[in-house]
Amino acid sequence: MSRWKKGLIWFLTFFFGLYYIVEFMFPEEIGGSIDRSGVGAATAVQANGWKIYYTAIAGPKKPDGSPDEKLLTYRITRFPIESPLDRQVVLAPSAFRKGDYFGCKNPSILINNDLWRMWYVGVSFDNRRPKVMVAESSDGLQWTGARELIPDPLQRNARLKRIEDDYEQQRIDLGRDPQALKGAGVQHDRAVQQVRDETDWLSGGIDSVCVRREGDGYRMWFVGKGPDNDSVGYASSTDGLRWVIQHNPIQLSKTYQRITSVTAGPNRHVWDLVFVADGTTYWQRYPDGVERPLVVETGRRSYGSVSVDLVQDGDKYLLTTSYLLEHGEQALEMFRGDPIAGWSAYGPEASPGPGGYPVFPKAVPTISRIASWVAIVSAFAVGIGLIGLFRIHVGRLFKRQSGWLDSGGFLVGLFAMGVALILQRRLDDLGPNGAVNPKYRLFVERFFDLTWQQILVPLTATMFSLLACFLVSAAYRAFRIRGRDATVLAISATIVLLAQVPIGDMLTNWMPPGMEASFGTAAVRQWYLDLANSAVQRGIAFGVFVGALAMALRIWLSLDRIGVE
Amino acid sequence: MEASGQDSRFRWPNIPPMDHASWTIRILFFLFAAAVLGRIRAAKRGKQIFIRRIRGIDALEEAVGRATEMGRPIMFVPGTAGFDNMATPAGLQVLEYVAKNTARYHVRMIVPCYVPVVLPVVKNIYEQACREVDRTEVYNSDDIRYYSDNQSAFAAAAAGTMIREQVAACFYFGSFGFESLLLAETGQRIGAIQVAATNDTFQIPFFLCACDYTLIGEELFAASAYLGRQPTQLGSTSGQDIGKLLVCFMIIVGSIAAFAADSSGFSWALGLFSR
Repeated sequence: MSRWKKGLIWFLTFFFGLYYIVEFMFPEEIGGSIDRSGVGAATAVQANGWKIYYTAIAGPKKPDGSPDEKLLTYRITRFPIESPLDRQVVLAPSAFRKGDYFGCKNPSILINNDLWRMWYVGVSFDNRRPKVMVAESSDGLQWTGARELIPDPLQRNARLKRIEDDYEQQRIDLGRDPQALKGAGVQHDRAVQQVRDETDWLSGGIDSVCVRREGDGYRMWFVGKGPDNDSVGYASSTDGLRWVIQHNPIQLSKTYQRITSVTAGPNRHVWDLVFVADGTTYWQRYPDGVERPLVVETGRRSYGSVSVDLVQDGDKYLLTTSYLLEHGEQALEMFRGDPIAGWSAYGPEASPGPGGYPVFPKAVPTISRIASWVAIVSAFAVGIGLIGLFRIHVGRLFKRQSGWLDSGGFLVGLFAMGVALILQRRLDDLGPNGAVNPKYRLFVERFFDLTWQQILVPLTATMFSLLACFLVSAAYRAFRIRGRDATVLAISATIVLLAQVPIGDMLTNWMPPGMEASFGTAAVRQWYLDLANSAVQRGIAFGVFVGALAMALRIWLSLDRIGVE
Repeated sequence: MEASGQDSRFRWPNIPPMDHASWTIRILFFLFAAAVLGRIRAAKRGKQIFIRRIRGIDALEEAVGRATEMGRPIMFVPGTAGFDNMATPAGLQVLEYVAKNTARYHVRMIVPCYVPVVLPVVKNIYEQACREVDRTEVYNSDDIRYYSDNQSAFAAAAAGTMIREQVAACFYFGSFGFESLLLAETGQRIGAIQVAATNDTFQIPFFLCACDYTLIGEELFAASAYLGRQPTQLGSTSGQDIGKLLVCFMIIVGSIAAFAADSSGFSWALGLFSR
């Protein structure tokens, strides 16, 4: 073998080994996939093709495998719709900002004359309370000036303090006489109550914002977190920075316990309001005020919706939704359509995509593509094998050598099985409602059933069942007492076998219960299996692992070259 | 719902979940690698390394000699796993040694393959071994056969070959499934000398019952060092033992720590092992 070939083999072996070792050595928290705990609320932006801005969720897991919500970190990340693996974090939480100290999530982006503005929810230092933040950019990648947009919902505390101060001042002015205060029309309690009524539905903060332009102004829909339940709120602004919040939440047909996301899309002269409440996505077209469930067929099994976003794309909407998977992780998926005509899948398939949490997610497609060479080599090997088989058996058949009948049977079986599988696969591809002659379908299904289910499966089962006979014959040889070791083996095997049958119990059931629990046949058998046998098995397995590790190390460093001169 | 756009959707690469090491494993890995590489270096510098006698491996030569006397072929089964299982390369190293011996004595060696990728590697090893002992005429590529990747079919084909060819010896080196007993029992019935080595703890009892010699667990990995006496392999085998001693020490310390944690509240000591 030439030096060039040897060098190439050495390089490939070392490079791939190094990749997997580094991946294994790094904890997934370091560098690992930025969205290893889920892909959350997202929005689409049209700028040289669609760019998806989404909430990348990362953090430790609970013992049951689900993400630990109290320790999660949220980062706003972007990828082009055609290459989802090119993910870039565009806005990360900062220790210098209280507003998004623990995370940045739920982005809503508008572009106006090269100025990108992003409204998002910050997970604040203040007990992870959600706050509305804003940041600006010139290219959609570098975001600056991140700041709290609405420091506290309706500045409730400041207003209450002002009322208290006014009341105290008037008490001083009026000589602290309650009757005089009443006579002067000072309604302290009512004023406080009024502020509370106006702001209670926002007392837990503002979550999930959606900002849209209308004419020269801006509209904002948001989720208000109340003490008992959540609500959908509305605000308006002329510049997108100073907002006037409507005092009361939007009237929905019923009270929802938990609203996690809200979005709105313009539909000619009306707005479509879409929100996720208690795990279900609802749609309401203004001004009728009636919610209807909005259903999309997600690629992976959904355990409840989490977020939704609508962006206009021509005469349709681009809907981006995230939903819960089995272990509490979140997947992202996109659809195109509208609430009346329906939705079709769009963009990348449901994420999170790369299995596991690789440290170098961008290397994954390249590595897996190269690894698929093994499949190609295997396919060629199978092809070579088939040619060899044909050469041997066709030759034997035509020359009428010994065993020519078997060769004929083999060739017929090979051809029949191949044809049956190809025809059945084509039928499967067409689906149960495919345009196929029913007689042809019946023929193919029966032919496949005959070759695979009625010939191959019983033959395989026959081979497997031969084990029963072979086991008896092997056991007979093994239990012959030829020496000390064989005697120990025979005694142990006899006890284990006896304990499997009723007669074994009968042998020791005369013992007192306490004694039988320790020295009965069943107890001794269990001791053999759980302690003696288990310890030996683990010892062997441990030696195997150590040996395999040393072997792997030798191959990785090309100290041993299997099949290479 | 419309189906348009489905085919052009981006599909995520399908890779199995990635495991990440804990701190204990990271430290152990580096210690173990240092032990193996250190011993390899020592062996290359001429340090004598002792490996105890493994009777099963001594029997390989005896079996080839018997096949020569009887004028019958031998069969070498390199397991039913691919190269992702370290037992396969370990088995192939033994195959190289057996191939040289059979070629030297003009004995046919039949190698049934279960995994397609293993077949060209076996051919290469066999051909190279024949060339090294100047017996290129012995090499016959038809004796290295791909049978099937279905366990039952493979076992049936390999067992059929054993009976038809009346092989004098059968060697099973690699990873096996339930076919181990089907093959070994067939070999027993035709009176072949059988040597087996596998890393699969469930198949070891079957081989023990049906074969004349069985290498248990790590002996499979030590076999090539024992046969070849190459410094790399001898050093690696010795390094493995140091690694095992290290882990045995950890087991003892861990047991004491567990006992201390239970009896006197030294739970931090136990915590060190669970990181």
